Amino acid sequence: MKANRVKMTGLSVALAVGMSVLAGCGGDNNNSNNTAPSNSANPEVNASSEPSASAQEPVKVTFMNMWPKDSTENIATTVRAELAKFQADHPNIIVEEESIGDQNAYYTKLKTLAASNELPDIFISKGSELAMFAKNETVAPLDDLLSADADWKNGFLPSSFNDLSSGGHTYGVPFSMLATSVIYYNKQFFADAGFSSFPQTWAELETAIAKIKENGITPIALGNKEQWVAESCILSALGDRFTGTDWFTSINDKSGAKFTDADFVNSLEAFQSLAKQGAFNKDMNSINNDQQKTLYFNGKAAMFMEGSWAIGSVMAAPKEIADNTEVAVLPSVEGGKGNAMATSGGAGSGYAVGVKGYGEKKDAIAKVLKALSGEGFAKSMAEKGEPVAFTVTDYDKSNVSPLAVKYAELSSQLQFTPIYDSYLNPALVSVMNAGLQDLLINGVTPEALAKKIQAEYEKTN
Amino acid sequence: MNRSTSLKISRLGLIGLLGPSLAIYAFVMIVPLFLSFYYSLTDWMGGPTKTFIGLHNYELLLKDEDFWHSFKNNVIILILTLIVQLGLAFLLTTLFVSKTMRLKELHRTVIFFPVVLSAVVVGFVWQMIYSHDYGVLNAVLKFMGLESAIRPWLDDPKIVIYLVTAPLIWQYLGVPLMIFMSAVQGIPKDIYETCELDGCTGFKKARYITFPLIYDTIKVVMMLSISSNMLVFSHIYVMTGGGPGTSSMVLAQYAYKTSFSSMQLGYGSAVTIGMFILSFGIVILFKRLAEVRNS
Amino acid sequence: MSIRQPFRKLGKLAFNVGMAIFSFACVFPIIWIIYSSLKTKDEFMLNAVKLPAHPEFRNYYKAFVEGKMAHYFISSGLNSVIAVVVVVFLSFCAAYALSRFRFRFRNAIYTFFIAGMLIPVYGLLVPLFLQFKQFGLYDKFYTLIIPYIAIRLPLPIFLLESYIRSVPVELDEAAHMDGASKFYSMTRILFPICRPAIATIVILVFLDTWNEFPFSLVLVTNEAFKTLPVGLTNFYGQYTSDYTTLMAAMVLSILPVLAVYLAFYKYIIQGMTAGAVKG
Repeated sequence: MKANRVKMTGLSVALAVGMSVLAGCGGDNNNSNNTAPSNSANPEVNASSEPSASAQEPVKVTFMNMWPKDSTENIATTVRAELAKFQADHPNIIVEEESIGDQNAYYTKLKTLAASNELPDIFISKGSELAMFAKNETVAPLDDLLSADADWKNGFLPSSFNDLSSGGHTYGVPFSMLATSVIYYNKQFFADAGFSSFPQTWAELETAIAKIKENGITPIALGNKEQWVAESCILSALGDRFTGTDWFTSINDKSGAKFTDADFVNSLEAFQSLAKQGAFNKDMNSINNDQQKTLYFNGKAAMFMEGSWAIGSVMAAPKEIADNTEVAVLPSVEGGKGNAMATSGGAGSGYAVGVKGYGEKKDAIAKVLKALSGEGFAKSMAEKGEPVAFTVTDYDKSNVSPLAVKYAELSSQLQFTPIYDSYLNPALVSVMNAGLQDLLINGVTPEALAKKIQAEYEKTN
Repeated sequence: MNRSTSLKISRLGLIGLLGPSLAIYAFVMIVPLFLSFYYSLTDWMGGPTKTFIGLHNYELLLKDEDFWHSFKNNVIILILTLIVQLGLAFLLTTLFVSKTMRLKELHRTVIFFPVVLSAVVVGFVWQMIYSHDYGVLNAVLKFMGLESAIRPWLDDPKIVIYLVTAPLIWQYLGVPLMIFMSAVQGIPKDIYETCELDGCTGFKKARYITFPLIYDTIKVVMMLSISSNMLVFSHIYVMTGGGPGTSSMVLAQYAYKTSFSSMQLGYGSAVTIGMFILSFGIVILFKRLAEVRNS
Repeated sequence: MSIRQPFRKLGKLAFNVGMAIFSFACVFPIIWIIYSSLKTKDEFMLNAVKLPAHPEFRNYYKAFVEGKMAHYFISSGLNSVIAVVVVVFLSFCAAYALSRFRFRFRNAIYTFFIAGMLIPVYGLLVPLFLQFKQFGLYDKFYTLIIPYIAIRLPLPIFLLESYIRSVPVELDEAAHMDGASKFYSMTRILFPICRPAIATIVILVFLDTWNEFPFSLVLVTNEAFKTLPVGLTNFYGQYTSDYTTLMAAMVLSILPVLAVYLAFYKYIIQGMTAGAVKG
């Protein structure tokens, strides 16, 4: 008898715990229907909402971005400063920030949210993912919102919306204008090889590379482990030299052009021949873009290709390297259809708006967007030497680094051509990116790779 | 299996013991798995609409080179781990039992250390070991005068899969070792002592006492090894990103890539389910093999 | 005899030296992270292997104070401790039932649990997110504990089931004859015998929960609920990575796991000396 009782106690303990786990879920489930309890779990929000406890219930705008809270990057500090100003001026709008510093993690979360139609009110997105969200109708078209404020809309460089539009609608507001393919080169190494300025033709470039290699220096530092560098920072520009922009427009519109077209195959061929020539470091597929800069900073490489975002880190490089660094774009190629004074670039990413919050909070969202992209923001960015998407004329240039000035000079003469991965479907981009790794180690011929990309292109049509 | 039938339990008792686990486990693991299976029968791209397309995704999967290539990589990793890691763990276990080893406590503690590292750290460290310019491996080769063997290790698609397996074996060596050790304690000391009196050497002790007596535990550890190696992802992702090309890509990365890079959630779910089925198949196959040996 | 003696000694020495090298290889990464975390970012970028010229603790300050790691620690700690306690309790109950009794669906339930060890987590993210949203479980202080318990259950059940099965059932029967209840034999006889297995489970569950990433990333939004691995991604910039601060953060994040390991490993060892229990 006694034994039996004890047994029952044991079971009821097990049961009770089990039930309480379940009950715990159930109980709080009810609570979640009204927002008050979940609100109290966030002391920060509470604190900031208290002083503004005026007649109106404050509007909450969620804002997801990739800038860690303690980031010292210019874009991050500028956005935070503008946000703080905005919060002071608009007590009735509360911007709730969520920052995820790692790109892969950021997009994993973003796409999970997108799949459930729970995208944040405002978030950062690349053009290609934005096109995908747009197709799924999980982001709001911003045409009306932009047209409603002509001064704001017209302040942007006209081309800055290209990356953020699809199907005739604009889905994003640009916050920067960047080139993805800029050549950072050490003029000393080029001088040693007999070149007083950057080569103007492809043949000259190949000669320069051969000479630099003879001098025991790696001509081009390449860190393509993460696979986007070869495509975004080199092929996007190199491809355009051969094919011209019309070809890519046709690819993007699906109006006839093919990846197997001779011009594109030639660009792959040219890229591969650089690798065959030994232009790159041997471990190009196992180091990343930070490490490619390390090679360059250590004086082991004569140049590297990356976007305009690398200016800041070059300025932080050892002084003799930083002082010798100049910027250029790829030279013209023989028989190429593209403009030689061009490089791949654009807004790349922009602020997008989740369709769910857009309906009810349109005005608040518009105000936040303007604060984070308009003149005040752009001016503050420009003063730090960052290329901006918004026209600013009168700003303080004293803090702009010498390399940023050189870049500004160069980019003012440049035309921006499409960044491949801002437009093409991510599945296609991943085939292309992985294929480029193979191409650079002679694992695949240019023709075969072109066929593979084309096959994927036709599949995702 | 000589499970005695004398132990009986009431239905209520069973529910009390198993119910809570089953409930929470089903809610978090099984329901989503079924949802995943449902998605795999659609062409869902993450949008508001899903069209039912039957087994079409699975037809594609059967012909998907990347999928089977990734599976092959998983199998290579699995086989290498089973042989090298478990072999090493067993060897170490027998050494720990022997009297030759000094500082047992220290070794035991230290061999487990890598287990506590996150995949990011391990991937990063091994990337440095293999590094062309700064790598420890190339430095050692140079020191030994084997300059011709120096190469950018992770850039060679032919050997990369073996190279990325090494850190997995190294890092998790502590887990089978720990489990073996806890099993070895179950072996009464006097068995060894009797054996020693009969003039048993280290090898014989290992072969005729330790091995058979912890055979069940070895099966357990093999099962763990299968599950963790079929799901492996982050380490390799940190080291090579699956490259060069797709030469070191594994199933979990492929499933992640299809679902999350291009939001082909329908097809990505099919990859996930396919992966689950293959892993399950391997477990069953392995169970059969283990039973054959048993009898 | 007299000739072989020195050789044997030499062999022993060689073996122990080899063992020492092997063990050193196992700890080297930790040593490397520790001294690298004392370097500046530039120093590290220039040479990743060299010892720091002027060790400094700035990175730790940066990681812990500026990176606001404290609340990630609290969140990860709470989640891990609760998960360990609940998982040990639930898995012991389940493993006891599965190993000691025969009943209908016993094999089905066992397989059902074991299957969990083969499910890729990333495949569950989207459906699980939808479920949590649907049931109002999204972004709450208790949100993460639910999947953390569930996903860790299969392994302990698997380990304990096989461990309990190896304990002679006569032990239970004898206790039963003496009038002890099942609850008594379960908690007072079996549980202590299973101590080495349970210590193993505590270590593994704590470790896995502490390092868990995807659920923490996706299922909560509030900074206060996020766990350490997600916090660590904040050290990644958009295009550049601050490796040395990241390493300082990693060193800090390893400490609790090491502490748990050192605290519980002795129970595995203790079982060895107290092996008489089973005899």
